[in-house]
Amino acid sequence: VAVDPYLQKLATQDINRALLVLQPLLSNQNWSDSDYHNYIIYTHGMKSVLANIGLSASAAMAGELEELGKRQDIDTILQKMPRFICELNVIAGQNHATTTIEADAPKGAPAIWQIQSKKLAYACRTYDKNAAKTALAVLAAFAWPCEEKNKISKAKELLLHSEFEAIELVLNSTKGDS
Amino acid sequence: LTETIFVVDDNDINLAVAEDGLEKEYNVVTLPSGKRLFEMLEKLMPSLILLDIVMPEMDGFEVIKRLKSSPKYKSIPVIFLTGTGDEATENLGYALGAADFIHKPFSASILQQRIRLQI
Repeated sequence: VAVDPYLQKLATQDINRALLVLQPLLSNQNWSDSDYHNYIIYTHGMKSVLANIGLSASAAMAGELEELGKRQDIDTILQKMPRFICELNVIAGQNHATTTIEADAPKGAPAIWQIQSKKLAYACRTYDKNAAKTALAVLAAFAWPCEEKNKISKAKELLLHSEFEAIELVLNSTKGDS
Repeated sequence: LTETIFVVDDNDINLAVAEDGLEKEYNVVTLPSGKRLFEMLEKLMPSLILLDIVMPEMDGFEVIKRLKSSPKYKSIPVIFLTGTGDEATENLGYALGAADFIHKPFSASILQQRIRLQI
């Protein structure tokens, strides 16, 4: 199934977050209630993440593991989970290798940066997500030096979580700002 | 004026998929947690909230309880986004004031139709 590289990137981030929680559970046979709680949250989350990138068999496995967690069937979980963790690592690894191919984009000019970042800042102040996305898409269509490129990439991440104020800070930051 | 819809889900891909399906018609504000939802509600009032149930820290049921107990927010329709199809979960959701349930993964057209029924 062909998946949009942006969605693949987001799925990889979601999978890596789940792996941080799920992987350490493999080395423990005495799970607390909190371990089961976290396990259920992240296997449940993986069900829709994997389905969204067309991996229905892996999504079904996530669902099966989630149900085992609800029943606190630790023996079956520990028997089946290594394969699932392995699959998640493979999927995250494959997606990680999928880098976006930069086309021969025209070189960005300071005036373009100034106009679009003003539009973006205004969109953020008015919580207009579509206008913010449009301004970012225009900026992303040009080739920029590393600093600006990083700002665009960071702003994209922040926009997905609607961190409007933080986007303005990123745009206005200069090298050396923390 | 474009109506605003909040989408709350702890998985980024679900936020992106919902946004992709709705952004032509709505201003879609995507939020990764219940905490961020309440922060954003201080700044912007949505016409509807699409809310995931199973999330770390504050789950969807806790979020809807807080929304429905607030005079300011109780009239905002809440549609649950769920990966679980069990009756008990849906009964609890409706009892807490949910307007509808949509099962993940969802199609953009179903999402749009169900939202139109509410706003």
